[in-house]
Amino acid sequence: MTIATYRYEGEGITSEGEQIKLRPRDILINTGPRIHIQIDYSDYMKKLFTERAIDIIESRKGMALIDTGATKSCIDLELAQDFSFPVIDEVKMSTPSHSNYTSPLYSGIMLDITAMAKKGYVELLGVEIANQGIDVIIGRDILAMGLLVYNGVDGTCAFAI
Amino acid sequence: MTMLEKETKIFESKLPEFVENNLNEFVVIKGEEVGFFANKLDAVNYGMRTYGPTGCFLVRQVAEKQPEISMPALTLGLLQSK
Repeated sequence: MTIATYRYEGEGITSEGEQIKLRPRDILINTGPRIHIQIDYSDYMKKLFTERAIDIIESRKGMALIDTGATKSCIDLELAQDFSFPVIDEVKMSTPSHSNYTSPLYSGIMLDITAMAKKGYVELLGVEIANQGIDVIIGRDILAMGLLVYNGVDGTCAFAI
Repeated sequence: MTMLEKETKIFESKLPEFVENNLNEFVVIKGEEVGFFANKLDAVNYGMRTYGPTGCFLVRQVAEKQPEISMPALTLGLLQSK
């Protein structure tokens, strides 16, 4: 089992304009547990692209938010469309601003949790989340593969697969 | 009309028949074509091979009830998605 521990660091500016170092626990409160990820095609998709002489785009690094409230993991819609991942299902969703819209479920995705050097084949629901500074939401379907420790006091988050 | 509306309607209309004959298998539906597989990876790979790696085809497990998806952060607007 590989364990990656994330400690959150950053700086802020006080109302007097003074630059200060933020406490990891405050960053964790404000941003939630975020981890670096990389998105790529599955090996089988790459094989099919090569056989059919279709251009593939390079893998992309991004940021994922761990959301223990979500049953299903998500990917930013525009990012998924850039990769042209295949759509294998649709899910009806409603948010306070939009009711009854359909989100595509994308397959053929290789998700690399960078700090752990662990890659896995996943299916992700397409939603518009890039405006939140995140590319992927890691829900309970991926968390089911590992162990998550959220240490609010210390301002750290550990994930092991 | 959504990308998989036709395929979803076929799945829903034929579900009783699928449950009787192919319970727990994975069905691939594209247009009028229907195929069954023992596991999801085989079903998805078949779909990508047959309908294109960037294609659009329905893959679902044959079950009386589909799993519910819950994402409170999105649906309650805590994360402001679309």
